[in-house]
Amino acid sequence: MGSASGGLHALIDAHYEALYRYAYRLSGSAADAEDLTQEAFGKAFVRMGQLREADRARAWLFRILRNLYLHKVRDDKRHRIVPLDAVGDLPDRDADETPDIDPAKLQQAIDQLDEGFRTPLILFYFEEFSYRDIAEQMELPIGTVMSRLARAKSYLRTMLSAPESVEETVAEKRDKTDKQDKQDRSKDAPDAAVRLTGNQVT
Amino acid sequence: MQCRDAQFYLRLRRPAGDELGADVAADLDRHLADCSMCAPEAHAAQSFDSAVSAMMRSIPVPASLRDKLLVQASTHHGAVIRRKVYRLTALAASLLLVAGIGFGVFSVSRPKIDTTDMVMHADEQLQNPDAALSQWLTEHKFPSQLPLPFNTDLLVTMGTERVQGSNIPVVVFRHPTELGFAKVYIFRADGTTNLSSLRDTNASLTMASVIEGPQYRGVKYVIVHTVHPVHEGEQPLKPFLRVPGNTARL
Repeated sequence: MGSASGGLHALIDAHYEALYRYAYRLSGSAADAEDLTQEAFGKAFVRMGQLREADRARAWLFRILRNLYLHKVRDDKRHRIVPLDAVGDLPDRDADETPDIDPAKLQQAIDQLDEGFRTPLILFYFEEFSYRDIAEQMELPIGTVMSRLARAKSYLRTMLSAPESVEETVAEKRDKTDKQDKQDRSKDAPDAAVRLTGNQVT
Repeated sequence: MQCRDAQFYLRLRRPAGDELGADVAADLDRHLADCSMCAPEAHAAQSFDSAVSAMMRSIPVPASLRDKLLVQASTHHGAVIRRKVYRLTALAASLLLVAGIGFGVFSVSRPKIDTTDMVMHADEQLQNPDAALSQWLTEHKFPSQLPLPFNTDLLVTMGTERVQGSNIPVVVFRHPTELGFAKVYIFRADGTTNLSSLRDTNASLTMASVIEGPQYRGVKYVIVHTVHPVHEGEQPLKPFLRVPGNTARL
């Protein structure tokens, strides 16, 4: 009895901080991150028998949390996603410049990414998962993950080092895409959306 | 390696560790060493990645979260224990119920020994031993009479006796005046026992006689009896047989 309880406590101590940070970056909200972390551990406790290798616990927990997050936001249309095809039109940043990262700006840029790009980007910078691990988490080919990462990083570098005018350009493009989406929807043409989502990039 | 490829690989180079593979990493490093355009880009990319990586993980975790999770774990653990206890209790109750039902069925169905019945049976045997013997033989699907006219007044028991691993039906008579007996073993020649060795045998105090024949419908009789003095030419079993002419019991 004690050892089983101790096992859960050890699992919590080893992973709850990383899991919370991942949840925060995914959701962009401290309250959502806390809920997601608790829900993820709740599911993990119930499914503990499915965890075959103890050293895969973190990847397993991250995967549970991501699935919970996806389930939560599946029907959430309020999330504003920046079209990544805009990245190529943005001015390149100065190569010599070492950016001073603004935390709020970083989260804002992450929030604007489609989840299909956001997740590999977060996992990449968490430095705990290999490309193969990320591919397994997302159930995608490793080439797709690398391609998405390259594009997401370009976007992030542009956003974090860009002057206000560039952000406005991105915002304008996003608004333009939103308007286009609305028009397309009003024409009952669901496949007319030009937004670049995770499933379209390989 | 071309600048365009180098730019792509630079984006994939990890802040810690390198998963590009030794060949690609070596090509990239060679290119960066020679290319004045890509080298600063590589440096900037590395700085950028390091800064973003640090910032990405720089999120304060609520102090209360750990305690909440531990409470959640304890609650879950308690629920698991309770479920296990419920299951075990239910299992034990089921087993108890099944055992109770089984015992009840066994109690109802097991044979009930009744002394009244035993006494009545003994009375019947004493009052009419011929009928009792005939009924017993018929119930066992043997010919209704024994091969010799035994004096049923001397009848002691009808039952079975363990003989060399088999339960063999046997009728036992006592000697009328001395300490002696005659046991009539009845073997069915149906192949369940090997009867080829049955033959007349003598010992100092007892002897065995085998009686067989087609008139006995596949049954062989072995009569083991004590030896008593008889007149010459008389049947050794004479003390156990009915006196000729006395048919009172028949």
